[in-house]
Order: sequence, then structure tokens, then C-alpha cells
Amino acid sequence: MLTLLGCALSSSVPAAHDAPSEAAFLGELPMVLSASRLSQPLSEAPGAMTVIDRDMIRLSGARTMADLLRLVPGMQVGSRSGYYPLATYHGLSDDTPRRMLVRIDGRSTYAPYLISGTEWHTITVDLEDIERIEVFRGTNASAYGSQAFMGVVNIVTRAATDSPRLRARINQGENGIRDRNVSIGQHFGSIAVRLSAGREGDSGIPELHDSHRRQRADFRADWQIDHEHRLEFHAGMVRLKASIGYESDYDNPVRPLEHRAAFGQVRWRWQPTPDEELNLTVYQQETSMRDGFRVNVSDVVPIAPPQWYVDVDYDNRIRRSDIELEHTFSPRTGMRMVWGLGYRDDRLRAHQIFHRDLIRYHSGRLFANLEWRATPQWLVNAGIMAERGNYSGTLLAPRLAANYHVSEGHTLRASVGRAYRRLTPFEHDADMRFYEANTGILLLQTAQPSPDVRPERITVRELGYRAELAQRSVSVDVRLFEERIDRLIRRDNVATDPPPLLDPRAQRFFSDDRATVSGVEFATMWRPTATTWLGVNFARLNVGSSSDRAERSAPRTSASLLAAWSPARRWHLSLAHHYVGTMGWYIRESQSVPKQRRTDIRIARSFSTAELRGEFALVLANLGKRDADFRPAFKTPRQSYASLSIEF
Amino acid sequence: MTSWLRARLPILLFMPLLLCVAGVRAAPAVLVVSSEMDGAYEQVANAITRELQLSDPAAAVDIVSREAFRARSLDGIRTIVTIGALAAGEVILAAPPMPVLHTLVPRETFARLASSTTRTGDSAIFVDQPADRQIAAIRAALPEWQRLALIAGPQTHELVAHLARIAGAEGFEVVVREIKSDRELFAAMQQIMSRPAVLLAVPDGEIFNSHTIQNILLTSYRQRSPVVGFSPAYVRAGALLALYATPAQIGKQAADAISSVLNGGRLPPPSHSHEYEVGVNLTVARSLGIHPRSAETIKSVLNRREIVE
Repeated sequence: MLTLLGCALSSSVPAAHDAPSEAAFLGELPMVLSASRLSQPLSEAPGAMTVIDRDMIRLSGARTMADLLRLVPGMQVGSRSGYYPLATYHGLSDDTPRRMLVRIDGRSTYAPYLISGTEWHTITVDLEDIERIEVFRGTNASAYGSQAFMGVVNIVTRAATDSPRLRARINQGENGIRDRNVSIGQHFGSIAVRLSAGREGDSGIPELHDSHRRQRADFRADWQIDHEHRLEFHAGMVRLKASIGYESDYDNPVRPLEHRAAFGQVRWRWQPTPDEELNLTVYQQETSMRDGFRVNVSDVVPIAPPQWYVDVDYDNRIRRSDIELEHTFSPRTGMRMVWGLGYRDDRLRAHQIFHRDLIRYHSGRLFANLEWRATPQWLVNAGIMAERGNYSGTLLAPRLAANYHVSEGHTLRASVGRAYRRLTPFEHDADMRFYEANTGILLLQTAQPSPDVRPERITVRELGYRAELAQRSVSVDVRLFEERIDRLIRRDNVATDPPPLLDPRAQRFFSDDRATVSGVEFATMWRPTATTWLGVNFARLNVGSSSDRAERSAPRTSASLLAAWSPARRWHLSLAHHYVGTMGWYIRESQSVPKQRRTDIRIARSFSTAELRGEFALVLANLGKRDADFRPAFKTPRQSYASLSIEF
Repeated sequence: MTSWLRARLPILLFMPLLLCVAGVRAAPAVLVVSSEMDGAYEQVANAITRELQLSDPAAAVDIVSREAFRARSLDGIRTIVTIGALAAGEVILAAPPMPVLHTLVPRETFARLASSTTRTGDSAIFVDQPADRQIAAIRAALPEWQRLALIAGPQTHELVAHLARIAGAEGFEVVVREIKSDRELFAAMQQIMSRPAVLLAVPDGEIFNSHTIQNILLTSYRQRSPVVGFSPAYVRAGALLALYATPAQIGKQAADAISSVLNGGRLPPPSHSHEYEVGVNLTVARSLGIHPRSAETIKSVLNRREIVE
């Protein structure tokens, strides 16, 4: 009875439910723009950074992540095949770039599996779900480990709460371009989820048999447990079906390839105060590839018995588990400390590559970086990473950087650092043997173990200048650098034991090359609004090395002109023109790529109703003369396409 | 007999005084009815007690929950202070004969409560900041910004219209989007923030809450646009700026108002808190490349302006 009376009383209280309560004024809120979440002001970074934000991603018309890296000064981008882009910072790369780390929300995509590097096609996130891409130009091993040997690309995806309820995008164009992408976003109380899926593909490079179709799904859920605790869950999977090989190559024939990758990641964040944050990230990912074919030996060696054949089985399965704890706090006013530890374990099953059933590749890491605002003008960053694992023992990567704010909007910076690149299993243990199936005779060995190879070492000295003027609408960034790499790893064919029948030699790695990359990078942009800009990038690189392949591996000069503007309401125009001087992907001179020019234009018109927003775009990609970007014979195709996207 | 009297004389002499003290304790002059008994509510109550002890040591304060208030006798009570909207509703419903001061209530909520009764002589100290003070603070902190964005929810379209009028008069280019639920927020944010603007958050729990704040702050941040909030939690979460009164400031102002009643006067008219804080998130400012004026400068500009007015 009393309860009933109580209810009657409360329901007749004049403070009606639709009147605002004071709760909104008193309630706690989660820390959204915490120091670790914010992009660091570029004038305070301990080195040169390029940030590609969402508007730049959208207006670039890029269909792949690697395409976006053309916007970064000093970066070289090529295509080994239509689905296998290559990206390297400051050259020194063969057809599997492995001196730069790519991370997505803290998850390393570096695949130290076969020949190593980033397999871009295994990335599951849609370009539209990327918040920004931060490219740290230069070694950043002190923060991210030895795989960030010459640079790191950090991809930050959008929070699930920050997704439209529905988004759909269709690309259709020349060279077989057919992309279909859809994404849905939903809220369930304090949990927000986003699921995106897509099918993408094109016909690849006309001179190659490399058409491909990719199916991907990406899921993210963010659960704001309370204002201090947050749990993020990511998962994704991708399946690539592609064609690979060359018509004339008996030992690398045209054949189908299937590559699958899947991952799951959980991240717990605790933010007790604006200055403190604790992150625990755990993820597991697995990739598997099916690639097998039979070679009739008599096709390669006419005198061989006709019944001789070799079954080549490049099938592989790799599982990675990783855990990392990261703690950010302010030990005293003006200081910010980030420290953490982590452990990673890769299990590789690729018998054809290692002549063994299982390879384990594991390492632990401990890192710390102290940012000290010594005076309003001086900012000092000191960091170190210690990595210990099999293949390389203990590696230490220290860095010291100082930024000096000369005056409002002008900053000078200087940094010195040293890092090591941990050996990959392939560099140390590759053992690729091909036996004749009937007799068991060892016919050929294309790679042999390299027990004496040692981790590469880089010593970096750089000076930089950053200006942000006219309320940050004009930026100028200059980086002057010298990157000295000792024990640069080279490959050579040397005698192997026992000697195979067809060729007594097999490829082996040696640590006796060295290279010094020096030069200057310059980037300037006038960007009065988020979607209007005019920018110029320029890089002048000089590689001095004991290896002529290394010397030719980076262009002397590269430059880009970038522009975007809105000529009329709802119309957006953007343009990018890139020039890259002669370079080679670590190959003999005759296979160097002549200087390349590339022009991309995007014309778009947006439309909206009360509920729905959309855009129709025409992307004219690689207009004009077709140039090659990997081998002189493979000319990058024109890839113009039309795109329709809607969201609400 | 003499010895008996001698032994008890002190007690007899002090009896009236003891009775008096006991009487004060039994019937305090001020009754505080609080919606909740912890957090900001408790801080307001404590501030009232503390300040009254300084200004009016004889005044006794009794703090009760709104549930306990239903059974509470009002004998000897000279004035009631409510903390929070639920307590305010409860007390208005009971229609007590003495003047009531409502604290920690939003202005709009108090207006609706007041219009539901014929009571006169009651007053309030609002939890929110006056619209003109908020707009003036934005002007003082970010003099270069001309565009002001507002999102109105079902609870706040009148408030937003009021803010828009004042901002317009101050020379801002004001953009307003009205939405019915948080489902429309994503689209509204995309549209309203298509160009950089200062987004002024309003206390509409349907639209601005701990679930939607991510979307709001991230979308604004992407547009290199600052958000102005209305509580310290906003500044911690990532708003550039917020104006708010602390529970201690509201409690102190309440104690001053009660003092005048206890001294035979009337409650002052309903008002916003005279004292307030300006919170600035310098980390966010630095990341946005904005150089707002310091909290002290903003306060002194606002104080000068309010004195002139």
C-alpha cells in the first residue's frame, strides 16, 4: 500500500519526465579525446610525420591502402601484381619490402613469414572506416620494435560509435574494377557495433595473369563499461582468390592462389584520469595459403626422363598470438611517460619454405618513452625498446629527440637513434628444396639456411623544421636525414651441400653490405578547409652503398602535387600528380624502372536528403601514358572507375 | 532539603538553557531535502551547513532524503532548501507553508515546477549557466570563431532557440539542427559539422550522454572544431571549454539566501549561480591548434561584462 502510494506520489510530481534533470550536469563521461587518442601535434612529434586523414582518403579516390602511401614524401609504391602492392620508405627493397611496419589499431600486419613484409591484401578494414593514417618517416623502433626499422604506418580505425547506420558503396570501372562494400552500425545501450563487408577485385596488370577477387568482413564493437573502462573487440576475415605466375615459366606457371586471413583482437582501456591510461591488447591472427602445382621436369630440362616431375607445395599456415600492456601516465607536471611490455609468438607451418614442419618465432619486448616539456620552448623525447627473442638475441633501440619552438608556429627538431632489424625466419632458416617425386632425387635448392646472418643495424641522425602558419592552414615540413645501415643483408647464390642435381648453388643471405641513405624531404600544404588544399611534396634521396642494387633502389628525385577544391556547391574536385625518378626494386640495372609519372583526378558530386547522404564520383586513375612501377615490362593500367556511395 | 537543593541548583538554573538547546536540536530552522544523499548533492548540503555556521551560528540545519521528507514534521522549520529536481518536485507537492529555495535544478525544470503551482515566495539557484554568459564565454575564449552549431533534442528546443537568439545577436553565424532521438545524431553531426564550428552542447540527456559523447567529440575533432560543454566531465572527456558552477559555489549562494530568510527577509529572486568556474582542456586545444585564452582571462572578461550590465 505504501509502495503504491509512493508510486502515485512520484508520478504526480510536477517535474515531468520530459523536463531536463540535473543529472546531465553531474554525470561522468568517458574520456574520448585523451592524450593517447589525440593525434599528436606534428610540431611535438619526435620526428617527421605525415598524417592522411579521412577527407584525404576519400578525396584521393584510392582503392587500396598502398595507393594512399603515394601521398607520403620519400615513399616508393609499386605493384608486384595487381593484388600485391609494394611500399617502401627510402628504397632498399626487393619484391617483398620488409623494413617498414604497418599497424592497424595496434595490431602488427608485419608478416615475418615467408620472405616477409606487409601483405596488404590481408587487411580487412574498409578505407572508409579509417580515421587516419599516421606515417612516421624514419626509424621508430624505440616505440614499435625492430620491424619499424625505417618507418611505421599506423592505421587508426573509426570508433564503432562513429559509424553510420548503413553505408553502401559501389565502384565499377575499367580493367575489371568491381567493388561492392556495405557497412552497418548499431547501438545496444552502452555497446556500439559496426560490421562491414565487401567484395573487391580487378583484372590486375595487363601483361600479367593476376586478376583477383577479394572478400572481406570486418567487425568492431566498443563497449563503454563506465566512464573509466572500455572494451573494444575487433575481428575480421579476408579471402583472396587470385591468379599468379607467368605463362612462359615452367617453375612458376599460371595457377590459382587462395589466401585466407582472420584475426580477433580484444583491447581493454582504463582511463582513471585525463593523464593516465592503461591498455591491455590481446590478439590472435591466422593466415593460410593454398598454392600448389606440378612441374614436369622435362619441360625445364629437356634431357630429363619424361616421367619425372616435382610437386611444388607452397601451402602454409601461420598463427600469431600477441599480448601487450601499455601504461601512459604523467610522473610530474610537464612529463608524460609511456611504458609497456609485450610478447608475441608466431608459429609457421610452411614445409616447402623451411624444410621443417614447424618454425617458432617469438619475442618479448619492454619499452619506455619519456616526453619532457622542459620549458615552453623545449620538448625532449627519450625512448628505448628492448626486444629479446629467438633468431636475434637481445636488441636495444634507443632514441633521443628534441623539439625547439622557435616562435609561434615554428619548430626545429633534431633526433638521433639506433635500431636493429630482427632477422626473419626466412633470412635465417629458409631451406627450399625440390625433389623429384618418383626417385626422391634433390633436383634443385632455391634457398639454403644462413646461420651466420646477423640483424641489420641502422643509425639515424636527422634535423627537421615544421611551420604551421595562418591558424594552421599552411604547413611546411622539412626533414634532413642520414640513415646509415650496417650489416645490410644481401642475397647471393652459393654452393650448397649436398649439391642438387640441376644447380649446385642455392640462395643464401649475407650480412656484409652497407648503405647510407641521405637526403631531404620537403612537404608543404595550404589547407584552408578540411576539403580544400594545395600541396607539394618533394624528396631528394641519395643511397651510397657497397651494393649497386641498393644504390639504384630509390629514386634520386620524387615529387607530388596535390590539390582539392570545391568549384561549386556540392561539387568536389581533387587531383594528384606524382613523379618518381628511375629506381629498381633491388634488381639488375636492366630491370630498373624508368622514371614514372602518374596523374589521378577525382570529380564528385554529393547529395543529401534529410536522412540520407550520398556521393557520386568519377575517378580517373593513372591518366595519360602508362608507366611501369615494378618491372619495365609491367605497365600500370589505367583504372578509371565510377563510384556511388550512400549513407544514413 | 537544603543539601538536596544545593546539589540540584546548577541543574535547575541551567534547565531553561538545556531545554532551549534541545529545542533547537529538535526543530531546526532549516530543512534540506536532497534528491540523493551522496556526490554533488552531499557537497551542496555540506556547503550550506558550513557556510550557515559561519554566517548564522545559531541556525540549525537538518538534511533529509526526499523519501524521509514525506514523514517529516515541519514544526519549527523556517525555510526549506531542496537539492535536485526530484526533491524539488516532492516538496512542491507537499505545499509547505514556508518559503522554499530549490537548488541544483535546471532553469527550465524550475520554470515548469513553478508554473504547476500557485506558490509565491519560492526561489531557486539553477544548476545551469545563463545563456548569455555561455555565449559571451565562447566569444571571449575563441574570438576568431564565428560559426556556432547547436543540436536541439526533444527536451531542449526552447533552450536552443534561446541560445541561438542570443548568439545571433552577438554576431555568430548560428546553425541549428533539431532531432528527435540519438539515432538521428550521426547524420545531424555530419551535416552541422560539414564546416568547422564551435559546437555548444546542451543538457539534453537524450542527445548528449555518455553513449553519444564519443561520436560528438570525434566528429567535431575531425573537423578541427571545438566543443563547449556544461560540466567538468565535458572538459575531461575532450570538450575544449565548459562553464559550470561547483556544488560548493551553489551551496554557498544558497546559504546566503537562507540567511536573509532567517534574519526576517525574503528569498532573493530565482537566479543562476553568481560564482562559476571556467574549465579549459589545454591538451585538446593544443591538438586542435587552438590557442584559447586562459580560464582566468575568460572569467575576468565575463565579470567585467556582467558588472557593466
